[in-house]
Amino acid sequence: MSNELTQLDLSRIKRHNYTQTLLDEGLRTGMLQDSDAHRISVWMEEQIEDLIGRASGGESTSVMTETAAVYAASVLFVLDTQLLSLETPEEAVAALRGEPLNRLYEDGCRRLRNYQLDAASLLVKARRIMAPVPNRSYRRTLNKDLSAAIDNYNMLFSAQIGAKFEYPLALPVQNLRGIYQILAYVSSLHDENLFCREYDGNQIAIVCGIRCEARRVKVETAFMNIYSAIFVNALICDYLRHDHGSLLLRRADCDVAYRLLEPFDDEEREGLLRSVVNRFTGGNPDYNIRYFESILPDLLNALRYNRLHNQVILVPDDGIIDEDFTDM
Amino acid sequence: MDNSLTNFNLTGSGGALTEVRVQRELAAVNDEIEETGIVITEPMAKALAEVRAQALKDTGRFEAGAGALTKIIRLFSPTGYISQSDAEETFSELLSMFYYAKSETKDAATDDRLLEAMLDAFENRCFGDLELLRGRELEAMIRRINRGDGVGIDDSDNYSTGFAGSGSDGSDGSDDSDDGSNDVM
Repeated sequence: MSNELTQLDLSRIKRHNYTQTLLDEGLRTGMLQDSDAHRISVWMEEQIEDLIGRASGGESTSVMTETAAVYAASVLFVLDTQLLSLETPEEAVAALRGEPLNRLYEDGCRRLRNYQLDAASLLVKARRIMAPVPNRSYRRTLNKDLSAAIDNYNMLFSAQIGAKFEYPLALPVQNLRGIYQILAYVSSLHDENLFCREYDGNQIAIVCGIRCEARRVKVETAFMNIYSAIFVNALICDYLRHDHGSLLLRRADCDVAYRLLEPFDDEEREGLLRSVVNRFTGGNPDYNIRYFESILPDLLNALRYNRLHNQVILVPDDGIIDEDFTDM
Repeated sequence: MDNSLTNFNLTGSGGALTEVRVQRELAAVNDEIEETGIVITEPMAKALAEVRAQALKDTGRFEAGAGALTKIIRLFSPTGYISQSDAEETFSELLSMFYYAKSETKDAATDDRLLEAMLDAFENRCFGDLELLRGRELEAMIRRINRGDGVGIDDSDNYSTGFAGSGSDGSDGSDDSDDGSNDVM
C-alpha cells in the first residue's frame, strides 16, 4: 500500500451509508487494513446470526435473504449513528480500527434510544398545543399514530425503518430514516402547532373550514395541513398590522395589501414579507422561514398579477361566518 | 475479500470465511454420528459447504453457520438408509429440500419441526427414496404448512392461520392429495 494515500477523500464518504463508505475509504487510503475489514465482516455476520436466533426464538438458523438484508441494514444504521457522532471521519475510521465493535454498537443503540425518548417528549409537548381543528388525520396522527411509531421503533431488527404518517406536514420530512425521520416529523409538527398556538383558535377553525368548503371537502376528513392553511393569512394580517393573533381577511384587506406592495419590485416585496416572517413570534423561526421560502415564488407571482386573493383564505364579504366553524 | 457490508454474505455462503466455518462445524459433527459408520471427511465437508452455499443462493436464503446442515446430518445419519458412499449426495439433497421448504413456507415451520417431518416421511413413507421425498412428501408438507395445517406429523402442530381445526382427524399426514377436499374454506 502506498504511503502517499493518507488523506480521506470526504467526497467518497456518504452519511447515509457511513460505515461502509468509511471502510472503503479507510482501505483505499491504507488507514484500514484487510484484517480490519475481515474483523468487521465476521462481526456483522455474528450480529445477523444473533438476530435470526432472537427473531425465531432460537428455532431457525436461516432466513430469507431479504430479511437478512433488513437485519444487516439495521446493524449498520446503529453503527452509522455512533460513528457519525464522532467529530471527524478520521476519528470514525480510528474507532472502526481500534474500538470493539460491540461497544460502538451498544453506544449507537444508546443514542437511538435517546432520540426515541426525545421524540416521545416532544410529542407530549406537541399534543398539549394542538390546534382546535377537528381534522381526523391530524388528531389521529398526534393522539395515536405517532405514539405507536415511537413505541414500536425497533432499533434491533429494523433501526433504519421509520414510519408513515397520514397527516401531511407543510414541509415534508425528506432523506431521513429510522428514528431520525420520526423525530423530525414530531419536531416539525410541534413547530407547526407552536405557530398555530399564536393565533385565535376560532379563527384557525374558520380559516380551515372556509378552505375545505371551497374544495368541497369536510374539515374532518380533509387531507390538509393546518399550518400551511393559515400561514399566508397570518403573513398578510401581520403585514396589515391587524390585531395580534388574527387570521381573518376579507377581499378588501387583500386589495389593500396588494396596493401597498404594488409599487415595489419582487426583491423589495420579498424583503418586506420576509421581515414580517422574521417578526413572527410563534413557532420556530427557521421552520417559518423555510416554509415561507417554499411558497415565495407563488406569492410573488400572485402579487405581480394582483392575484393575492388566490393565496389567502378569505372570509365571505357578507360577513357571515358559518357557525359550524366557530363551534370547535 | 469482499468488503461490502450491506450486501455481504447475503446471497448465501458468506464467502471463504463462512465456508471455513461451515467445514469446521461439519467436522465437529463426526463425534456425534460415530456409531452410524458415516464419517464427514474433509473433501466431503468442503463439497457440502459448496452445496450449502449454492442451495442458499438458489432458495434466496441466508444462514451464518452450518446450523441446518449439521442438524440434517445428526438426524438422518442413524436412519440406516444412508451409507458412506451416498452420504454426500443424500445430505446435499436433503439440505436443498430443507431450504426450499423453508422458503416456500415463508419460514412458517421451525427448523426442528420441518426436519422431524422430513425424517418421518423419509423413513416411514419413502424408505430412503429421495425422489419420493422431494416429489411427493415435501410438496404435500409445504401445502399443509401453507394451509396452516402444520407439518403433519402430529395433531398439535397447527399454525396460526385460522385452520386450527383441520389436521386433527387422526391422519398421519401422509394422505395429502391436494385435491382440495381437505381445505377448510
